[in-house]
Amino acid sequence: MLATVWAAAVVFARPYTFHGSLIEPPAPAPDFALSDQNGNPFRLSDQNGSIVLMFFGYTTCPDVCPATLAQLKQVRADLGRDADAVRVVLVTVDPGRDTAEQLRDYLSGFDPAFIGLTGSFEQLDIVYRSYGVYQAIPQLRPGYTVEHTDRIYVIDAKGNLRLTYTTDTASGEIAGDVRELLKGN
Amino acid sequence: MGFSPLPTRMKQFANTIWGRIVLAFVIGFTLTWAMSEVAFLILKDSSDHVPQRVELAIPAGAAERVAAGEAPPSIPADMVFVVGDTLVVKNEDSVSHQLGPVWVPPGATASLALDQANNYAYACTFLPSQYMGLDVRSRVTTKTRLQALLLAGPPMAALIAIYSFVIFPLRPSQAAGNTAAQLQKSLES
Repeated sequence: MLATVWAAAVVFARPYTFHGSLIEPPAPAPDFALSDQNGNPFRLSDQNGSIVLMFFGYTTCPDVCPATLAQLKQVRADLGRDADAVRVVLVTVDPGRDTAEQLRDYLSGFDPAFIGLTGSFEQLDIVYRSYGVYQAIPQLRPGYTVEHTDRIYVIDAKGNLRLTYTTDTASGEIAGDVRELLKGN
Repeated sequence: MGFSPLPTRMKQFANTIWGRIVLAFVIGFTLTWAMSEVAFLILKDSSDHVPQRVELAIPAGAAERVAAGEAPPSIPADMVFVVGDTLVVKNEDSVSHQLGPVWVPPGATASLALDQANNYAYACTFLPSQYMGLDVRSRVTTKTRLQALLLAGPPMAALIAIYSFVIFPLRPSQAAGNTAAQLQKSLES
């Protein structure tokens, strides 16, 4: 009886389908070094062993950035104890205003575990290019807004780029995919 | 009691209320199935297929061609899929490219499961128009056929039953006689 159930499970089991855009074969994530919100150096390759959910945004963003960070907070909540294996990283697209202190104040309103990264524009521009991020300031005036790519990147525990999401992906779907990656798939 | 031939027994059965209703449902569902199959055949879309992986290759130099206002060869402006297909974008260019939710680093391949029917107009970095249309259509499956049958079958059967009672009314004496005969037969058995 058990053998029959096992055989049926093997025959009818479907491979897991990821919800985001899956990068095949996994490509090594371009490495970079920036500073976090506490002024400490941050190197992406040092995060190997954890799953990194990376987003490019800025602290005075009126819409998509706070919505995405709230969504990523929900992903961590959905993951429960598995959340410890996940690092959420915000890379600023507005280095002129996003100082370490500004990032720290902003991110503490979402989740103190979130990591905010900043650096010189030259340092950041290399990261933008590596990850295909569009960033532009149409009008440099007080209270300006920044046009930018709103994509979430998933880097697995081996430092490979595995998935990208649009910001309208449900947090439960992202959490499901992260759980699958945590299994080593 | 002698053995009555099949057509006679069917006639007797059709002259009972329940016999008429059962026959109306059999005829109704058969007609509905035949009509829906003909409709599926007439409206059948050439793009309907079993879900598969559809590969789209971005050739080397695509970004340069787009910057010059030229469309890379072999990339259509629109693509048609069915629900369940997987779009696989292979980037042979030296820079990353984007097609809506799909972002592909240079030299890599990214895939997207298309699990919802919709007509998408995606931002695209490898066409001069800056957008690509993806039409994801529903498939005609056994489930679709069954839904059509279950939705249209009962009203069709009910209409046939009503028409049959109007056009070929049951003769009360015969109906009662048939019912009595059935009752007696069941008592005997």
